[in-house]
Amino acid sequence: MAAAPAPQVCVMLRGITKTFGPIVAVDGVDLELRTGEIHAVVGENGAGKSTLMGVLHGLHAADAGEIVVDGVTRSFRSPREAIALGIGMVHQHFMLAASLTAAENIVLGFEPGTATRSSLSEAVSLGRTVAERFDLRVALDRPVRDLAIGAQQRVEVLKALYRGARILILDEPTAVLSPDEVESLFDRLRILRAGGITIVFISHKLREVMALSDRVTVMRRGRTVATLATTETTREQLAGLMVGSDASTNKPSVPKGRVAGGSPALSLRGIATPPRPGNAGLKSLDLDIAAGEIVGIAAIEGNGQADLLEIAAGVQAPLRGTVAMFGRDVTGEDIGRRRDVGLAYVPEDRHRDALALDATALESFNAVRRPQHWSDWLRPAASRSERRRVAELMRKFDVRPPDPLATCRSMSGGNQQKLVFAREFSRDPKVIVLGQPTRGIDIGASQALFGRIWAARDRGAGVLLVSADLDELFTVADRIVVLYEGCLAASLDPASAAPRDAGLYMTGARHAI
Amino acid sequence: MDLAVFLLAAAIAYAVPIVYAGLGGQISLTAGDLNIALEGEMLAGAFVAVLVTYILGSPWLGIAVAILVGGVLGLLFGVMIVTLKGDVFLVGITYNFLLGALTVLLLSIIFGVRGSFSSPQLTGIPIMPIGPLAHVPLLGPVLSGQTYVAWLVVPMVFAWGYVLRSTPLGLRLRALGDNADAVRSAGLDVARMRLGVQMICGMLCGLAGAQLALGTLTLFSSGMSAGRGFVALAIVILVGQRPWMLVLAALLFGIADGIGIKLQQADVPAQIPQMLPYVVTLLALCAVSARRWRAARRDKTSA
Repeated sequence: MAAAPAPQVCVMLRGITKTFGPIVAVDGVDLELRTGEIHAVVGENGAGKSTLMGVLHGLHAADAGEIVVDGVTRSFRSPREAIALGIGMVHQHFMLAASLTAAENIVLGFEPGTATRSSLSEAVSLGRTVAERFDLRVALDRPVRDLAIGAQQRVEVLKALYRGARILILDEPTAVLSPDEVESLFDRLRILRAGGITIVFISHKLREVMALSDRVTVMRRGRTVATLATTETTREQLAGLMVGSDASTNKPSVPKGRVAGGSPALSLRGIATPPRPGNAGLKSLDLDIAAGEIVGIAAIEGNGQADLLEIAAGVQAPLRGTVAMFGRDVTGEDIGRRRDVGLAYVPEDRHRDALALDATALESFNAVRRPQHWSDWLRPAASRSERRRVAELMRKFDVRPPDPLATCRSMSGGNQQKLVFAREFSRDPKVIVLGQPTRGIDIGASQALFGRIWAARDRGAGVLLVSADLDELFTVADRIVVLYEGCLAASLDPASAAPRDAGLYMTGARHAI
Repeated sequence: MDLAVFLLAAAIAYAVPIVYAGLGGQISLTAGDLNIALEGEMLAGAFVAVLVTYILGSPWLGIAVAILVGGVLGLLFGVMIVTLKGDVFLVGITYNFLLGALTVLLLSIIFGVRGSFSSPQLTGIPIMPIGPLAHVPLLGPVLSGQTYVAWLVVPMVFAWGYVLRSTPLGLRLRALGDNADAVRSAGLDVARMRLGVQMICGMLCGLAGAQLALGTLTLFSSGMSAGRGFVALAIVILVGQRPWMLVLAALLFGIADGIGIKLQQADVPAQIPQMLPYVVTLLALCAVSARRWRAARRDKTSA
C-alpha cells in the first residue's frame, strides 16, 4: 500500500467513557483510525477493548466523549445506525443462523427489494458480487452449518461488507481458526485494506499483530496506553505496555521435564476412532507420555486431536485400541474411574464440557467428586469447611472474585478457566489432559496457567496438551507430536525445531514417520 | 365408492380447522416459539364465532370477529412470553385451561345453557358452489359440500409457502427461529417480530375455531375443539417448516377420524374409534423420533 503523505482520518474517538454500574470499563479513551489501515487494538482480558468497540459500533452508548466520523460528530443508538455510517462488526461468536444459507445470512435484515416481493435469488447474486470483489469465496448456497469455521467467518465479513461497511471491526478473529485459516484470513484482510477498507483488529496475540497491522493501540485497565506504528515497535515492548511492566514474551527459561523410568503415565496403543465429515478420526495411533513429560499435540483442526483428547480422558470409547495409565489398562473405564486414579481433564469447550455456567464455583468443585462411601451422598455440599476449602483454592489459583458462591457465568473467561484449573490441579493429578487451555485468555493469566502445568509436570505428572497456538506448544511442551489425518506425522524437540517445521508436517507437506 | 367419498369428505372436514391452527403453529415455531395454546385460542374462536353469528345473524361477521378476538388473544399471549418474559409452556397451559373454562362460563351466562348451544337462528358458513366439477365422480361429491373457508385453505397454504421460502419476511422468520442474535445484530426488532407472529397465530386459530363451529356443524359445545389444537401442534412438530406436509398430515388424521366414525357405526365400542386419530399421532411421533434418534446416533458414532 502506498502511504499517502497526509493520512486521512476516518474515525476519531475522543474521551470515551463507559461504565457498567460501579465498574468503569472504558475511561476517557482516545482512538484515531485512518482510512485504509489495519489498526490493531491489544490488551489483556478486561482491558476494555470489547467495550470500546461496542461503543464504536453502536452496541453501547458512551457515558461521555464523542465519536467523529468523517469529520462529523455522531451519536448512534444501535448497530443499525453505526452500519448506516459504514461501521461494521465481526463478532468473535458468529451471529449466523446455521440452517440458512450463506447468501441468506449475508442479506438478512438488508434484503434487496421490498418485504413482500420475491428477491432472494437477487440476494445470491448480490452476495456473489461482493464475494468476488474482495476474493472472499464461500459456498453461498450451502447452509452455514455445513461450512468450516473459516468459511463461516468469511460469511460474517461478507455480511458487514454487503451492508456497506468501510470500517470493519474484527473481535479476536483468529481465536477460532487453525494456523492455515489464520494465514488465509490475513491475506484477505490485506486485500480488503488495498480496497480502501479500514480494519480494526482486536487481539492479544502479539505475533499476529506484528505480522498484520500498520498501527497498534495498547489498552490497559480501560485506558489507551499508547498508539504506535507497528514497524517501530517490538513484541517485547507491546507485551510490556499491555501488562504494565517489562515482562517479556521471550520463552522463559524453564527446566525441561525429567522423564522418569517405569511405565508411562499415559500409554495409547493402536487407537482408532471413526472418521466423519471434516474430521479424520484416529488411525491406529500409538503414543506414550512418560511421567514428568509434557507432550504437545500440534495439528490443524479436524486431524484427530479432538478425538485424542476424548479418548485420553475417557469421554469417548475408541473403536479399537487400548489406553493405559501407569501400566494399568483403563480402556473400559469411564472418566470418573480414571479420575479416581489420578486423571485431570481440561476440555476444549469450557462452556459445554467443563462448567455449568449457572452453577456456583463451589458446585463446580463438587460436581466432579465421586462419592467413595455411601455416607458421602449425605454430606452437606456447602458446609462452612467446604466453602473455606474452595475459597482458599480459588485464592491460590487467583480466581477473581474468590467467592465460592459466585456463579461461573458471572466470571470472565480467564477466571472461569482458572477455576477449572483450580479444580483439576488441586487433586494432585498424575495424568493431565489439556484441550486449548489458554484459548481466549490473556497473557498474564496464560503465564500463570503454564506455571501450574510445569509444577505438576515437575511433581511427576504426564501431560497431554492439545493447542492450536503453536507458540504456546513450543513454550510449554517437552516434546511436540504432530498429527496429520489421524496419524502421527512427526515428533519434534521444541528446543531444536521451530514452529515453521511443525507447520510443514501439519499441512502434510512433509512426512517423518 | 361411497366409503371413499365419506372418508375423504370426513377427512377434509376434520382437517380444515387443524390446518388453520397448524399454520399458526408453524409460523410460530418457524419464528422460534412453540405455541401450545392453539387449542385454547381455537376454542375461543369457535365460541366468539357462534356468539356473534347468533346475535348479528351473519356468519361472515362471526368469522371476522373470531379472527379479531383471536388476534387480540394471540397478541396478549405474545406480550406475556415476550414483553413479560413468561415461560411459553406455562402461559400456554394457562391459556388452554383459562379459555376452556371461560367459554363454559360465558355459555351459561349468555345463553343460559350447559354443555352445548345451537339454534335455528344460527347460520353456518355458506357452501361454495363448484359448478360442473360437482359431476366428476368421487371428487365431485367430496368437494361440493365444502365451505368458502375450507376452500380458502388452498390459497393460504400457497401464500404461506411462498412467503416462507421466497420473501425477506420468510427469511427473517426462519432466521429468528434459528438464532435470534443474528436477527438482532442485523438491527431488526426481535420483540416486535415475535409479537406480530403471535398475533397472526391467534388470528389463524380464531379462523380455525370459526370453521369448526360454523363449517360442518352449526353449534358450540364446551370443549368442542376436542384436542384438535394439540393434533395440530403435534403435526407442526412432525413436519417442521413444510406447509404442504402439514396439509397432508392433517388429511391423514382426518381419514383416521373417518374410519373411527365408520367403526362406531359397526358396533365397536365408541371409545376405541375415538382413540384412532390420537393413536395415529402417537405412532407418527414415534416414527419421527425414531428416525431422529437414529440420525443422531449415526452422527455421533461417525463423529
